Amino acid sequence: MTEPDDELGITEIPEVHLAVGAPPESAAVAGVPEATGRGVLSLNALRAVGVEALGLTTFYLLVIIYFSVTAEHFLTYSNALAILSNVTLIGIVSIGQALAVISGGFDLSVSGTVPLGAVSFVIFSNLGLPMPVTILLAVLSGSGVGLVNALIITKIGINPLITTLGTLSIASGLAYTVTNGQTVTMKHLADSALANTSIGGVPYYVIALIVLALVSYFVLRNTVFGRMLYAIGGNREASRLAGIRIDLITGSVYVISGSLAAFAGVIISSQLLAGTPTVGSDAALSSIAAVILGGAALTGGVGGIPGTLVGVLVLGTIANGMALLAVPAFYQQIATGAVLLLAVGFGRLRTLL
Amino acid sequence: MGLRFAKVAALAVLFSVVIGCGGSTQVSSSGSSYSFDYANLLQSGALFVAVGDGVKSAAGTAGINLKTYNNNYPSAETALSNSQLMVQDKPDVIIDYNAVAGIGDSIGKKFNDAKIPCIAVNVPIKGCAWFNLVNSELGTDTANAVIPIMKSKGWTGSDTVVILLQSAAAGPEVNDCIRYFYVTVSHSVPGFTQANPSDITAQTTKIGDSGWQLEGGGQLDSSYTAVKNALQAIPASKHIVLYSINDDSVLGGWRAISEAHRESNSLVAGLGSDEESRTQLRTNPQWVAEGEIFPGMWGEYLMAMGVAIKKGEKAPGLTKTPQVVMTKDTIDKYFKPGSDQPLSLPALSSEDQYLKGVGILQKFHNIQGL
Repeated sequence: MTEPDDELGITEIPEVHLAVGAPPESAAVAGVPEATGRGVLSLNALRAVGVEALGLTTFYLLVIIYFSVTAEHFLTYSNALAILSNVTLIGIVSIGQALAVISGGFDLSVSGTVPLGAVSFVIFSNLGLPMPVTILLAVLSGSGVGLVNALIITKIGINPLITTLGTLSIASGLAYTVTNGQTVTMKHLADSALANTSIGGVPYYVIALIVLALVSYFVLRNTVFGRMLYAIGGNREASRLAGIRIDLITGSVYVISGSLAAFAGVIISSQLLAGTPTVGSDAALSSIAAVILGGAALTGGVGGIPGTLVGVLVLGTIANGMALLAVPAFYQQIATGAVLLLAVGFGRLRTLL
Repeated sequence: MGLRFAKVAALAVLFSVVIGCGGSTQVSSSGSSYSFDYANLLQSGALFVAVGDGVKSAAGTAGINLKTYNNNYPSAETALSNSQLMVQDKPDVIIDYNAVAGIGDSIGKKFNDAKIPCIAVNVPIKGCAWFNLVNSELGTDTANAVIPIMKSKGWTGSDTVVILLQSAAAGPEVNDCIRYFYVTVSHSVPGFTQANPSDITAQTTKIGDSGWQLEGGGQLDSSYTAVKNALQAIPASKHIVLYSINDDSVLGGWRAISEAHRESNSLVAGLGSDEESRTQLRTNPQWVAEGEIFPGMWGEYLMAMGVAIKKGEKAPGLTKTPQVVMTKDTIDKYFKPGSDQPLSLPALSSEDQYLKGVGILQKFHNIQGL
């Protein structure tokens, strides 16, 4: 076998069949042959994924119509901004989670990385460091968690579920330790510019979500890295035989996911003007729900950014709508779960039509 | 071979990290004749950290061996597991700070079966002595501090909304503060939808047009989101009065109000009195009252209670925590600016007089009249 190409991380590709899991709009990956037969993303599969995404979008439109009719203040510009603002944290975490799920894994550690990023940001800010440095250091704290995940998963071979469950606990514990469990108030309010600056009323952090989503969408659709991610998620062994550097690509996913989770922590701290070790404790479950809602498969190889974002919006809009309707908190939980099942079912139903 | 060794070594490091991070913590006091176990409600949030730290510090001063646990509220499983672990420790006294409503009977049975004297903090546990702030009094006193300011501004129920942030999982006792707050306001300020405490349950969301009860979970971020959503439905012309079960929650709600640029049209009152909220009370014109329950000092009372019970004293139905509602005019009576240490604590209430004779409280030199 020839030496891997450092830039692309692939070698000369032997003729193999890639499994289901090429991106929905897949053409042949550079250097990867068109595959045929079992496991190949067929035209029907492409259509199914597209129709499922369409189904979720239709479902989302129905949700909007329902709340527009029933909740007096729902259909306003201000409330739309509130929804976008509320979903930004989970939205950013979900982008990283989507990459992990597409690659065939999970990243539960985001529930610990978000608070670690949040408290790191405030602590570094209170030290008087310049804001870009503060953000960078906080994001690096998440990259560190991601790197630990990557090394344990790829070098020791522990299952991603178990690995990230362990690092969730460690990262969360670190956040509690460095703050002594207390809320740390931000002293330099100028460092909250991400939350307190806007364009046309749209806060910078919402714009950051949109930019990150566009970049991720482009990377997944149009780069070798993105194609390899789908290939690995679809069939790890075939990808290995195809010469893809599986450890490198898989590991990088967890570093990206950790970095994004920490950045989400920076954003929530900017919103709250404080860092607390309890923020984002539901980030793992919410982000996985959003990714699956968006059409991804827990078995890997399928999924995408647009669907994930619609999934995030479905969750955020339902929570907002029920709050405006003054639905008691207990019922909100029940309704959210029921609507999740309904939404996924709706998507599946559409694929059968 | 090398790779296998590296994997084993890495696992060994992970294992040692896990072992190093687990278990409970112990405060030893040489020569002590008493050993207490204490389970804190949670190891985050200013209130609970202050209580936990205060208990440890007080045990040291009182000369009592202390082993501590974290009940990790709202995890009922952890609270139950801790109760079993504490029974196995066989201490002289168990002090349990658990706010998961409804599991008190189960926990109390374990303590009582083991014949270990116990103290329940905040939420009662069957068969245990009860140490608690009186949340209903705090809510009422806070409302009585806010009402004159509302009246001086000419606010009435027709142009004002009271936002209450609850934590349903904490049960009715903890949430009494917000219930009694609203009830007192509604009976004193014209135009509010009148309510009695029993009218406001965990599932109440709106009280007529003048009250919103939101679920904040006692936490900063969820309270922020809850208030942010509710503000969409509260007209900008309405005045807002914000109150919650603790300061983290109040700060989250207040942040949402500030972000919506509605702070100048709002009043806020806190509960718990951490450094940030005391700063707010001193410097923020809209932050007009703060319930102070001296959580960092609860340990003194708990140590005294434990020793009293162990010595066979009969504790009353309720041993009261020291509590007071501070305003901008009175805060300096209790705290120096920038200081966490109270200048003094109120004199013992009539219910707490039995603690005098134990001789523990006198070691702290900070309670009036002792």
